[in-house]
Amino acid sequence: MDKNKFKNIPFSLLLNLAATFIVALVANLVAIAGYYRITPFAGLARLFFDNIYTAGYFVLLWLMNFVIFEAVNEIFEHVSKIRTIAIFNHKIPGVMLAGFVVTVAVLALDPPAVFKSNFIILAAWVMIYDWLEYKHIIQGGR
Amino acid sequence: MKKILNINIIMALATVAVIGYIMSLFYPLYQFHTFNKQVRYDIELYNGDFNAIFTLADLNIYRDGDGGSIQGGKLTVLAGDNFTDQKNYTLEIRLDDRVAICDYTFTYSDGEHEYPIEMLEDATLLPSVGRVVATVYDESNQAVASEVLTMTPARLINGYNKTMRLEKVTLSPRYMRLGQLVTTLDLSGYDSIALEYRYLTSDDLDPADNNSYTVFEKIEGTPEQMLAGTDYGIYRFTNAQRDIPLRPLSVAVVMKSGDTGTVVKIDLD
Repeated sequence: MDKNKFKNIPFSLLLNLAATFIVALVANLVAIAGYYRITPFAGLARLFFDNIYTAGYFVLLWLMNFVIFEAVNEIFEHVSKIRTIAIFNHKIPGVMLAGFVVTVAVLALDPPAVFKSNFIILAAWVMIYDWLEYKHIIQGGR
Repeated sequence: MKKILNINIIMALATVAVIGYIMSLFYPLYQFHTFNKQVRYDIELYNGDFNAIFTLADLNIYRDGDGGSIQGGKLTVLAGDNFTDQKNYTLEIRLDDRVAICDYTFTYSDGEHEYPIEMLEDATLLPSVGRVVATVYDESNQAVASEVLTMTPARLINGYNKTMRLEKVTLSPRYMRLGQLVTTLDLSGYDSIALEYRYLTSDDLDPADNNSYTVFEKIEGTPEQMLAGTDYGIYRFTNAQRDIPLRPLSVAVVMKSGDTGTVVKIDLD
């Protein structure tokens, strides 16, 4: 393991924690504000200060997003077979394909609003992260 | 090297599976406490002026989503000089001198009487509306008396435990809207359900002990009646009970079947 990569791990973790927090937050606000027809700002109060179960589930969703994100990165980094996938002689990054498949699957399955927006935004973030890494704008801990 | 990485992947997937399983277990709880929760915004219109020609009390405007209505209310004519016996008068309540939210006709009879305002009318109203004026007109549309009303938004009360919730509860200095019980439990097996609204008798007493409370209102019924989806109305505080809204409140849900009963506590705050 080289030294630079090791240095970047805390930054990578903090970025992922922050990003997955925002994903869970936006997903919950979309669901709550959409359901009650209130502004996202009023939705914030409902999410955090109304009762402990709603707030607790938010934390659980955040944790879930974080673990999924880390797992996806781990898989696509180290399983070389699916790093790029050839479709009609075009090489497509596996992460991009997986994100697209997840988005289509979520739209088709139509889960509760909170999961729907959560997984679509999470898939989008995974793809954006991969692209940013590919362009060397950010360096992950890998 | 490869082996370690595979273990990482397996560990990560296992963690996803565990958290996913926990989330699926807790989803009904999240669903119950996050969605389908009804809130009622109560605003009390009130004139407490001792020189008033008439008073309006117990008149509530409530908002629920986009709609709203006026509920209840008592009109009391105090000084009778402006009024003639057995004549018809119209009470009009205006918001910001623009929108009439209530238009109520009554026949005056001599002396101090209460006229219950029964009409319910749709009213879309913002809680921030500044000035509310109530005016009484006679039959020739001349203003007889006019009063400026104070708007007191009632405090929204949140009350829940893991499986039960009291929603649409509001508290104002003069009344408490008792709300309605919603629950994830199947209570149909019980003979009766009673809600005991109570306050902590003294600050020195232990809030966890049921004997520390004084019950001021009790509502009882069969599970079907209690969970029918209609709220339990309003409890009005008497002058002696004026400090109840300032005390810690809670509700004891007493579920009885035969001789056995279960008591569940819901704190209101």
